[in-house]
Formats: sequence, structure tokens, C-alpha cells
Amino acid sequence: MRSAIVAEWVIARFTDRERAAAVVGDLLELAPERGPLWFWSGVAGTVLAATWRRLVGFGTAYLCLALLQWRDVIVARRMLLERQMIAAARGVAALPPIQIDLVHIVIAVLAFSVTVAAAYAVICYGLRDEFARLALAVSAPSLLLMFYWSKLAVVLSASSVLLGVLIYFVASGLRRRATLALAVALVAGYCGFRFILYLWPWYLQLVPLSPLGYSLSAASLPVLDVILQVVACDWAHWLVCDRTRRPLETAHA
Amino acid sequence: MPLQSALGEFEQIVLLAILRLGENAYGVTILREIAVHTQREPTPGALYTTLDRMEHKGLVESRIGDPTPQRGGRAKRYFTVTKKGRAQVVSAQRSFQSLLEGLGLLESANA
Repeated sequence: MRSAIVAEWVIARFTDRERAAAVVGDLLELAPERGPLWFWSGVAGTVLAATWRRLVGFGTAYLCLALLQWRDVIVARRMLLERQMIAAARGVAALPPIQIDLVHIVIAVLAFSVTVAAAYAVICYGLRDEFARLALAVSAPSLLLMFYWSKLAVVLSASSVLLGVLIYFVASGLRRRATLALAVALVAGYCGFRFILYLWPWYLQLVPLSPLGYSLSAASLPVLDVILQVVACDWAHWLVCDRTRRPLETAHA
Repeated sequence: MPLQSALGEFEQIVLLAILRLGENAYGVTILREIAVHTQREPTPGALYTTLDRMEHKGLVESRIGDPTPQRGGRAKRYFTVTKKGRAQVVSAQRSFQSLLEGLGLLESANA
């Protein structure tokens, strides 16, 4: 009996209490003929079935962010090297600083966020989900815009594709909801991340540096970014897509 | 005939099991019905995830029954197939029937 209470408490962490009680009730009903090992493997299997997509989705989203950042570092290093060579050829100590375009920064933030959201949504909600489809469709042209901002032909084509995707999704009811959900997720994720950055200096003071001067707390910043973005995705998806879809579907049934 | 439904194989099995059980379809009876007719035992985790997903898609509905002492006072969660679920499973089965027609596979397997 005590093990059933523990099992119900564990399963209730991943679903609502009513469902958790019904699941444990089913397992208890079968336990006398199948044994305690089967009961606990049933509990573990239920928890795993409820969580594996989110865990894999989070891992993939983090991997995508890491790959994008890694590519950014390589591009930045190459640019620095090129500028040093140009400066040396001209016989000056340093070239004037690069003027970073504000629109480019906004597109880069959008591309990073929407790629993280797309990776997570495709695994968690599946490719049949409109939210996942939209995130995937927006991430490709956004990444092209971010990486090839200086090439006019790419900017024009990617912008046209992006505009076309948005018009296609805004045109119909269900897809419009997905567009709203993605917009809410991106804004919520971005605002959350800005808030963490605002609190960051205070947090860093609490965590001492390692003897080599490396701060593990700084390394946790991308993880926090991905956590915030996926939580924002789940929240927006539930708020805009799930909550509003159910009454419609039962009305049609 | 176009394949309108996008039901997976296990989803179809679960829907058919619920339809066969009628008013008495809950976790344990669904697991047993599937085991009897398919000779394979699905894990409870796979069944509950599928049921939740189908409820989310509007293919099944659930209601909570009365608590029973044999389940430690826990209530059963009964499932029924909605009109949409019934339509999708019929559509999927019609497609299979249409593909099987004229092949004589069932007759040769029974012979």
C-alpha cells in the first residue's frame, strides 16, 4: 500500500493527480498476478513514456544552440584574422570597429530562438503539429538571413520565403493559432533570457571562479537559455493550441 | 479511396479494443483485450501515452468511475471512442480492406 502511494506521488509529478491515481489503480489490479517487479517496471515505463520526448527534445535543442554558437565563434575568429591581415597590409595598428546593424541583431536573436524552438517542437509535438511545422519553416530562412546578411540575393530570397510562410500560416484558423503560439513562445523566451541576463552580475558574485579563472556559472548560461525557451514553448503551446483546441474538437465530434 | 486518417497501427488496435469493450474499457481491460487478440502484451506506459495522445486529438473521451477497494480506493478511468475516432478507424480499416481486395491473402492464410 505504501509503495502504491509512492508510485502515485512519482507519476503525479508528470501528469495530473486523477490520471496518476487511475494508472496506479490499474497497476495495483494487475500486480497480484504479475508481481511487484512488474508493478515498479510499469511505474518506471509510465514515467519514461511521459518524459522521454521532452528530455530528447531538450537535448536536441541544446545541441542546435551549441552548433550555432560554435559556428559563430569560428566566423568571428575568421573575421578577426582577416581584419588583422588587412590592418597589417595597410600598416595601421587596428581597423575602425565594425558597425553592427540593429536589424541583423534582431534577426540573429530570432534565428537562434526559433531554431531552438523548432528542434524541441519537432521532437515533442511531432511533425504533424502546426506549431512545430511553423517553427521549422521559419527557422530555415531566419538562419539564412543571419548567416548571409551581407549577400543581397540571399536576403531577398530568404525574406520572401519567410513572408510567404507567415502569410500561409496567418491565412487559416488553426495555423493562425500556431503562429500566435510561436510568437508568444519567442517573446516569452526572449524576455525571460533578458531577465536572467539582468540578474547575472549578482549571480556571478555568488559563484567563485575556479583556480584557472574559468567560471562554471558562465557555462550554464546557454543551458538556462534553452530551458527558458522550451518552457516558453510548452506554455505557449498549451495556452494557445491545446486549451483552445479541445472544445472545438468535441463540438465537431 | 483516400486514406483520410493518420492513425498509427497501435492507435488503431487501442481504438478497436475500446470499441469491443464498450462501457467497460479502462486500462486493465484494454491491456487484456489487446493481449488476447494480438498475442502481444503492450507496456502500460505505451498504452497510457497513446490514450492521452488520442484524447488530446479528440479520438477518445475519458470519465472517472467510482473508487474500488481492490485498487486501494483508486477510481478507474473509463474510455469511449468519439465519433471522430470511430470515423478515423473506419476510414483506416476501409483503406486496408480496399488494398487487400482481390489478393486472396486471408483465404490462403486460413486454408
